[in-house]
Amino acid sequence: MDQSSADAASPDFHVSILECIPHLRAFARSLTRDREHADDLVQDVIVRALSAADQFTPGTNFKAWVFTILRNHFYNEVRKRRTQPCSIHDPSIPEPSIPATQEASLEYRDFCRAFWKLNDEHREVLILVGANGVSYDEAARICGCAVGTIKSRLSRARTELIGKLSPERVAAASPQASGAAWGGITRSAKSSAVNNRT
Amino acid sequence: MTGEKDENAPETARRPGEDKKAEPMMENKTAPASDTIDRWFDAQLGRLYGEVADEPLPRELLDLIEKLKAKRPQG
Repeated sequence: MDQSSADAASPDFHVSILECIPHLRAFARSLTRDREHADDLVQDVIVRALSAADQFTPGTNFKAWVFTILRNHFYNEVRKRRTQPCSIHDPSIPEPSIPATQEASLEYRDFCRAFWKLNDEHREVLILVGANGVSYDEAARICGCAVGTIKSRLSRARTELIGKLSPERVAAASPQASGAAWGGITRSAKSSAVNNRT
Repeated sequence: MTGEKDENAPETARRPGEDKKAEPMMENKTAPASDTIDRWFDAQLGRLYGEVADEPLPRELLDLIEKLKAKRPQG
C-alpha cells in the first residue's frame, strides 16, 4: 500500500470505505461468481482506493468511485490472466444458500441459476442498476460507456433473464401474470431493448 | 442467513437503492401484470444482492478492517 496516501486519507474516507465493503463484496461476487476471488478482489480494491485517496473528489459519489476501481481491476485481471470467468456449465456457479422446500425458495433458486448464466455485462448492469440502485448516469461512468448503452444492456439483460425462466415459474410468482401477459411482457422487454438501441 | 428473510418484503426489493433515481428497468407499456413481474424481478435481484452483502466478513477482510481502523486518522 502507498503508506503516505493511506495515512493522508481523511477519517471520512476510511469510514466510507468500511461502509462500502458489503456492497463491494456483492458487486465483486456478481463479476467473479466466486466467493474467494471476490473477496480477494475487494481487498485489492480497498488498498488501491486508499492509495488513490487523493484522486477522489469530495462531494461526488464515493460508492460509484470504488465500484469503478473494482470493475477496472477485475477486467484488468481477466485480461492479464487471459482467462474468462467461469462458463455457464462451471460447477462453481454459486447456489443460493436456502433450503429448497418452499415455493418461494424454489422460485429464488431458479432465478439465481438463470442470473448466474448471464454474461458479465448483463450481470453487472443488473446488479448495479437493478439491485444496487445506481443511476443510469453513474452506471455509465462505472462501466465506461454511454447511458444509452446501459439502458440497452439492462433491457437485454432483463429479457434474457426472463427468457431463462419458465413462464410457469414467473406466473406462479405473480398471480396477476397469465401466460398471455408473460408473452406481452417479453415482447415489451424486447421492444424496449430495440427502442433503447436507437 | 436467508431463511429468515421475506423475499417479498419491499425493503429487500430495493435494497439498498432507496436513493435510486433511475427510470424503471423496463418501459411499462403493458398491463399491470408487467408491474407485478417488475416487482418480483427486482425483489429476487435485491435478495440475491442482499445475501452477499449481509454475509459475515471473512477473516482476511476483518484483519484488513482492523488495520484500517488502527491507521485511521483522528477526526
